[in-house]
Amino acid sequence: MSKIIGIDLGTTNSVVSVMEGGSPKVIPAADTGRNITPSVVEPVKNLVGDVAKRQMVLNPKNTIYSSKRLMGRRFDDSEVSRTTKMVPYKIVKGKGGAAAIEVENKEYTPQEIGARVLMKLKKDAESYLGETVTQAVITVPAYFDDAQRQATKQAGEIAGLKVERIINEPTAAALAYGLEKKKAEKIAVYDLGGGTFDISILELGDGVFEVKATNGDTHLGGDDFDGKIVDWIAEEFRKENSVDLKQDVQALQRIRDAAEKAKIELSASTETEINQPYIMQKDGQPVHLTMKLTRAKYEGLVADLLTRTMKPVAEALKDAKLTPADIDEVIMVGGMTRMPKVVEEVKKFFGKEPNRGVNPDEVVAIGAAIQGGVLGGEVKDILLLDVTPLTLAIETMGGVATPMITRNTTVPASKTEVFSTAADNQTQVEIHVTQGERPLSNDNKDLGRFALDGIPPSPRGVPQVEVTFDIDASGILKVTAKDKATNKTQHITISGAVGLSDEEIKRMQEEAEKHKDEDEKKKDLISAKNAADALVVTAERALKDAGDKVEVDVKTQVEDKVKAVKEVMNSENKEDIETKSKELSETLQTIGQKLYEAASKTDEPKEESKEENSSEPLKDEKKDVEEGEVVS
Amino acid sequence: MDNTEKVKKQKSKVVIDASVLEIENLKTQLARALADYDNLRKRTEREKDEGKYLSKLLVVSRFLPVFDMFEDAQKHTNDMGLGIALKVLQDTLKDEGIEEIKVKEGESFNHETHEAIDTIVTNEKEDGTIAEIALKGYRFSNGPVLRHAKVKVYKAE
Repeated sequence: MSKIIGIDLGTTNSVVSVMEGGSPKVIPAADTGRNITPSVVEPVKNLVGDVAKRQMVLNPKNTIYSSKRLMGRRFDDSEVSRTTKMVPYKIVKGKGGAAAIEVENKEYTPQEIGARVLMKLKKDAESYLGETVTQAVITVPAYFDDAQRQATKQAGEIAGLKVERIINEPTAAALAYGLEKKKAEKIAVYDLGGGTFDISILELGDGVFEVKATNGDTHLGGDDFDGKIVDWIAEEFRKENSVDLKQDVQALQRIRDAAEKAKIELSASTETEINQPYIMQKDGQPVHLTMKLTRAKYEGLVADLLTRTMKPVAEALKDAKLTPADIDEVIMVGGMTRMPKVVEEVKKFFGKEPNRGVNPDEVVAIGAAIQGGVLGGEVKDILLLDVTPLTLAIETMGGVATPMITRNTTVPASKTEVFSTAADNQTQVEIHVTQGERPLSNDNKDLGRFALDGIPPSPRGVPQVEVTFDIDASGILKVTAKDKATNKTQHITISGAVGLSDEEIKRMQEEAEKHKDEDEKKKDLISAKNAADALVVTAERALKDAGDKVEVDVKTQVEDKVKAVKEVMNSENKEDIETKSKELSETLQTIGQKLYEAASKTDEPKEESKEENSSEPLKDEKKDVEEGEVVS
Repeated sequence: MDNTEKVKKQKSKVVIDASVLEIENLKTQLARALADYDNLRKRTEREKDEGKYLSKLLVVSRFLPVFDMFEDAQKHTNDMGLGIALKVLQDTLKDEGIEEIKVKEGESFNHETHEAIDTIVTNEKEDGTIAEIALKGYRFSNGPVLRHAKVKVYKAE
């Protein structure tokens, strides 16, 4: 029952992934711990990946990269001549007129070079899985012809892998997003990688993805974007210092690294600083490089590159005889699609939000692994493990929704917590179950409520009510409440706690996001009120218990402060409540010694105000019970 | 009559066959799930240790360029105080099990710990030996490399 791995054999980088427990997992390279391996090979010393890349400048003629550009092509192919001009290694006419690579008088086919990369990925997968791997699904660009697909398959075989299937990269990406299950029929895949740009239009029919059109630019990618920043930095620096940084290899290396870092940072922030002190010497004095690059400036620098991607997109649509509005789903692939401007442009063109939840560097390999899982029978009819799409909570004092099972928990799952009462002599608690991400119960979806009564009358905070949320694999939620003193239990069963429609989930999540700030404020206010309430109870109880053991003026002092707290407690002013509570608390503390001594002789469980602070007990506004205030 | 019996029997056989198949399927899936879980458990153990390395690696790797800047500054200013501070920083790294990758001029290029950024063409030096250290490298003592030492290498004409 060995696993079928999925491999994205890329022009610049390659990725391997595998199905594990029903979901795809990208396998990190054993030597670097990174999820991607450069598709770079030094065949003589047999160095593959990062290690080969590190010695590239030493052995430019022996270090093969971009070999995918040669895969299955004839020597006289125009792409081969273009590659020949680009790379320092020697490309020759091999057997039957196919393109081959010559290193130290030995001829290597692109298949053999590809096989070295595949072998490394296979080994990484084996050391990760702890078992032998013999089967793989390998992806190729949608435009690959038969010869190129055949060559890729051979590469797999040379690497000792039975290639169960060759699939198109855009198809793999669509699989990774599970689009075969959606009713999406027409899909556009925008793939801007390290060195190539591809746009593919797919059509899904009868569970099969058909490539309707492809287009792209085989020499456009992330490296070009980096290059624009490097040029800009060098130019700015030259203007300021009249020195050309590009002449100094070491300095160039540093600005290349800085440019890549800046590019990544500008995907998340709107401005970045590029700081390279002591970048070089001028007239014996150190010169520092320090500049700011804004996102807007960067977008200006690469505007022509972006335009270059949009033309093929339009062409591909035209070839597929479709308009942007016909496209149901758009998928973003390749690291460059993290750039907000890229997303914006694509969104503008198609008029819809592109899919980009899956890591764009890994999405193709993930899709290949899913295909592998299907072929290996692992995915078919699988017992799908569901997750709770929204948080399941219980209402506690002040209407706060206290989470029991948080969203994205894999079910079946169970959680037990102990709650207490909010009022003295409360004999009933009401359990109110809600679903949603907002901090207050009222704003969430009401799933059901029930009461547990017969709790022996005791001071607030003393009874222990154990509440258990148990959700089974089919999403049925059973909530049980048990009074630990009497062992009396009560429960409710709620179905459909998992099975919400996508729209409903999305709407609730969006609402939570939208109201985040005001909700937080409301919750803070309630916490303050709860704390004040608890403090008042403590103070009053202490006074009562102490009886005449405290002097009258002390007593009055406390009573005044209690009154002050009570006055503000129902206001909406959190600061007021907190200030007055603090005053009461301080008064209690300064004069408290005696008070507490007296009080501790009588009774008092360890329940303190801080317990209520943590919003543990549950209070309900429902008034049909004896005590009015109900808590669990 | 006989025929209907037969049909009935066949029908129930089909039903049983389907159930047997279903059970087999479920068994296989259960076995897979259990195996996956067990492997995951083992790997989690292993990764817990690796995780320690990894988190340290991620944090320290981000500080290394800052460290470089201070060292560059020291080269120019030769300030005694800064010198002491840098020494303490080195020692702290050592305490954390991180050490500089020692590279000497003239030693052979090692792709495990070095990264070649340029070549210096000459016939006076041995081909493939280190000409210059452009940027210090760091590694965990007998563990993975945090940053490869960037070097310039002699190359015969």
